[in-house]
Amino acid sequence: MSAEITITGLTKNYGRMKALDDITITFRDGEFLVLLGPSGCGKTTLLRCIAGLETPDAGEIRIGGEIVFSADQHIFTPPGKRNLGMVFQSYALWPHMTVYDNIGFGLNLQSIPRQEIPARITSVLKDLAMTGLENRYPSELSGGQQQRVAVARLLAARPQLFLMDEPLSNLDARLRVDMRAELKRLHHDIKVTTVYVTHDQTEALTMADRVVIMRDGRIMQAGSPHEIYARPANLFTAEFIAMPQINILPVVLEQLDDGISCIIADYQVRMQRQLPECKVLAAVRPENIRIHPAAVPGAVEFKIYSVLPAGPETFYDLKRDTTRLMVRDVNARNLEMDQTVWIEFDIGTINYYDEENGEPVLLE
Amino acid sequence: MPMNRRPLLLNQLSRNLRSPHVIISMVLLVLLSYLVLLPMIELTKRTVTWTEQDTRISKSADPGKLTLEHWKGVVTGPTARAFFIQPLVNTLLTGLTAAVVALFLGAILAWIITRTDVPGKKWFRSILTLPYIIPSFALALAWETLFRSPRVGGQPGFYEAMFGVAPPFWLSYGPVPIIITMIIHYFPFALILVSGALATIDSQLEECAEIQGASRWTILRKITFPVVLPAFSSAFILTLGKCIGTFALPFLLGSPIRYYTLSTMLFTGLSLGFEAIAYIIGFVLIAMTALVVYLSTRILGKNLRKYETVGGKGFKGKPASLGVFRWPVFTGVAIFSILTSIFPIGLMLYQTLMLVNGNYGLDNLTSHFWIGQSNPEIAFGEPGVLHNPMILGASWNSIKLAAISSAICAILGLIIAYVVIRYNKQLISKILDQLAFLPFLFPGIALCAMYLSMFAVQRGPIPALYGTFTLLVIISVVNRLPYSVRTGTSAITQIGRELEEAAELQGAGWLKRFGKIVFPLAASGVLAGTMVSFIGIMRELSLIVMLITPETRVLMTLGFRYAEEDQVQLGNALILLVTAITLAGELIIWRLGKSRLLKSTRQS
Repeated sequence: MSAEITITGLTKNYGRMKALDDITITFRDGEFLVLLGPSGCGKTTLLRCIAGLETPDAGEIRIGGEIVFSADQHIFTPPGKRNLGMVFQSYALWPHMTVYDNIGFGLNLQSIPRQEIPARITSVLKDLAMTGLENRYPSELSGGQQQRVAVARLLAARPQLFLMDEPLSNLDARLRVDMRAELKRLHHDIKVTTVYVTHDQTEALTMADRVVIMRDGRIMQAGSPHEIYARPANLFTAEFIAMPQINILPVVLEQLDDGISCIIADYQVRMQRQLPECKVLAAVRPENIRIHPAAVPGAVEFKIYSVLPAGPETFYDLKRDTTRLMVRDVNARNLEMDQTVWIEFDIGTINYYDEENGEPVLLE
Repeated sequence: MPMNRRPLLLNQLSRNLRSPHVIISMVLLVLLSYLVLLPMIELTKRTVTWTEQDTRISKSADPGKLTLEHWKGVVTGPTARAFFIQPLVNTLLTGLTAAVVALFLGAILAWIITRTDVPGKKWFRSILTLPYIIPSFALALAWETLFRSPRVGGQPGFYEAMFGVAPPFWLSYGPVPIIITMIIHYFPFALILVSGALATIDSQLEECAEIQGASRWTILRKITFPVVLPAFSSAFILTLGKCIGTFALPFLLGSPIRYYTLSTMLFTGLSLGFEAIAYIIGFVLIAMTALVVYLSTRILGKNLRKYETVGGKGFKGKPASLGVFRWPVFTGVAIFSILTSIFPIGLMLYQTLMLVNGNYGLDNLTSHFWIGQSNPEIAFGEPGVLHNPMILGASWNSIKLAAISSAICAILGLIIAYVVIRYNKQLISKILDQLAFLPFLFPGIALCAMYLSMFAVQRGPIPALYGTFTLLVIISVVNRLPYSVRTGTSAITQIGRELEEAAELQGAGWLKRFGKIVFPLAASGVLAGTMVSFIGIMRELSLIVMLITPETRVLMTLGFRYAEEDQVQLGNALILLVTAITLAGELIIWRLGKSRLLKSTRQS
C-alpha cells in the first residue's frame, strides 16, 4: 500500500522565524523524494509536520487522499494514526529493549493478530540479513546494524509512507555508500512513497526520483536530479548544488546587430536574445570548461594558480588578474603550477542569472 | 488561495490532550504552591502580624492586624543585641571564617588528588569525603568528647583524661570549635566542587603553555587558576551558604555557653515562645541563602559562557610531579584525613564502650550501652541501644520516613523534570521549575519554622498536621525536591526526544510512553538519586527537630535528646548507628554509579 501526499499552503512559525512559508507541493505515489537544503531551511520541519510531530500554523496535508491536517477544518490526526513510519537521524532505538522488542513494540499496539507478530519480525530481520541478532541490545550492535534495525522497525509495521530524517549521516563514509544502494534497492522493490531529508547533495542526487531544494522555509526548486544539476532554477540552487564548486562569473553584455555578445572572463559568447536590463552572472560548472596547454584561437589565457589532483580527475584553480576559475579535467595531463593555459567554455551548458534576484535570464 | 494564518487553538488543544502534561502541570502547580509558596508567604506574614500572644507583651497589640513592631523590636529594641544582632554577627563570623578556610583546604586537597602524582589518590578521594557524609552532629559530639570542659559540668573529656588538665575553655565551646568543626564538615564539599572544575580543564591548555616555555608555577597562576576561578568563587559562596544554615554544630558547641547563631537562636526562640523573633530570623536566614545562591549563579552564569571553549576532552595529561615532596605530602594528607574522619568516629565508638564516662581505662569498658539490659544503676535504667524499644521504634521511624519520602520525592522529581524538559518553552513549565527549586533556599531550620507556622492549625480542608508522621514526610519531600528534580532532569535529558517520538509514531499514548520508555530508561539514574535522598533524610536533624513528637521520633532527634540530657554514650551510639547506615547507603550509591557506567548504554 502506498500513498500520494498533497501539501497546500503549509506554514509554520517558531516565534518570529518562518520555518515553513506557504509550502505547496505534491509528492507522487511511490516516489522517492529527497528534501535537500542547508541547515535551518525547514526540511526537517516539513518532514515532522507530515509525521504529525509538529503542528503547522496554517495549510493542509493530505496523505493518500485523506486529510491528516487542516488548519481551516481544525483537523489534526495524531502521528500514530497516520499509518506512516520514520527512521530518525539517531535511529531512536530504545536502548532498554532488544532488537526483537524494538521491532515488536509498535506491532503490539496495532490490531495485528498476536500470533502473526513473531513471523513478521523474523521475516523483516531475514530480509535485512539480521537473523540471529534478535536478542541483542542496541548498544551491542555496530552503527550499520543499528541503522538496519531502525529500517526493520519501519518495514515491520508496513506503513503507506516512509519518512527518513538524515538516516545515514551517523555512518562512516564507506558504510554510507553501501546503505544508499540498499535503501534504493529496498525502495525499488516495495515502491512505497518515501520522503527523505538530507543536507548531503551527493546523497540527494544519487537516491532521489525527485529532489526538492529548500531555503528559508520555501521551495527553491523541485525536479529530477538531472534537471537540478544541469538547469538550476535560480542562482541559489546553482551555487548550492556544486561539486565541489561552481564558477559564478560576471557577464559584460553588448548589443550586436544580429543578437548580443556576452563576455565571460574575456571569453566571448554570441547569442540570439534580447539584451536584458539587469546585471547578469554566468554559472559554469568546472567540467564545462576545456583546458589547452597551448594557444587555441578564441581561447582565453589563464595561469595555473594551483593543481588539485583527485584520483581519476584533476581540478585546476586558474587565475587571471582577479578572476579565478575552477576547472575539472579528466585527462591525465601533467600541467604544473604557474604554467600558462588556454580555456574555452561549453557555451550550451552555461546558465545565466539576474545578479539582483537570482532569477534565470537569457533563456531560450 | 486564501490562507488561514491564525494559531490553531483547537489543534493545539487536541495535541495537549494526547500529551496530558498540561493537566499534570496544573496539579503539580497547585501542589507546589501549597507546599512551598504558601508556607513562605505565611512565614513572612507572621513577621508583620500581631498575634493573640502579643497582647500579653504589648498594649498596642491588635491580633490579626499588620504591624512593623516585631521587626522594629528585633532590630532596634532593647533585646535586639542579644536576640538578633549578636547571633547575626556570630553567624557571619563563624560562617565566613569556616568557608574561607574550608575552601582553601578543599582547593589544595583537590589539586593534590586530581593533579599530582601523590600515592593513593583513589583512596584519599573516598576518605576525604567522609567528614561530609557523616552527620555534622557526629562531629560535634566527637569534639565534645575530646574537649569537654569541667566548667560546663559533667565528666571530663578525652583531653583532660590524657593530660590531666582541663583544655582551654575557648577550645571547648564557642566560635573556635564551631569554626573548626564546620571546616572539617564542609571542606569536602568545597573539594568536590573544585576537583570537578579541575577535572574539566582541557589539559591541552596547560600543555600549550608548557610548550611555550611556561614554568609549572606560571601555568598554575596564569592558566589553571583563572580558568577555575568562576567555579572557585561559586564553591566559596555555596560553602558559605551551607555554613550559614548549619544547626547541630553551633547548637552543641555554642548554646551551652549561650553563644548563638541565627539558626540556634531560631530554635531557642521558638522553644521559649518568642515566635516573632524566630520567624523574623527564619526570614533573614532565607534571604541570606537566597542572596548567596543568586551570587553564585551570577558568577557561574556569566563566566561559564565566557569560558565556553573550556572543557571537552578532560584531563589526560601526566600529573604534576611532586618530586622529593611526594611522600611528605602523602603523609600530611594521610594524617589529615585520619584526624578528620576516622579519629572522630573511633573516639565516639570508644566512648560508647565506657561504663563511666570520662574514665578511659581498659577496666571501664562495657558493652552495656549496645547490648545491655535495663539496669537502674546505669543511665537511668535505659537499656542498651540494640534492646531499647524506644530506639528500635526510632530506627523503624527513621527508615520508614526516609524510604517513603525518598520514593515520593524521586517520582515527583522525575515527573516535574519531564514536564520541565519536554515542554521547556511553556510558561507553566518555567514556573514549575522555579517553584521546585525554591526549597533549595530554605535552610532546614527555617523550613521547619515555616511548616510549624503553617500546619500548627487547621487550614481549609487540610487538618492541623503538627505531630503527624505525614507532616514529616511532606517536609522531607519538599526539602529534597530540588535535588531530586535535578537528578530527574539529568536522567530525562539523556533520553532523546526521538525515542519518544518513535513510539508516538507507532501509536503509543502518553502513559504508555512514560511507562515503557521514559521510566525504564530513567530508572537507574533516579534510583541513585533516591538513595541520596534516603541518606539525606536519614541524617537530617534541623529540618524536623521541632516537628517531632514522642510517637514520631527518629534516630537523629532521639540522639539529639540524649545529647541534651548528657547521656553521652547512648547519644553517641545512636549517631554512630546513623553514620553506619549513611556510609552503607553511600557504598550502595557508589556501586550503582559503577554498574551504570559499566553498562554504558547508548542513549542518543
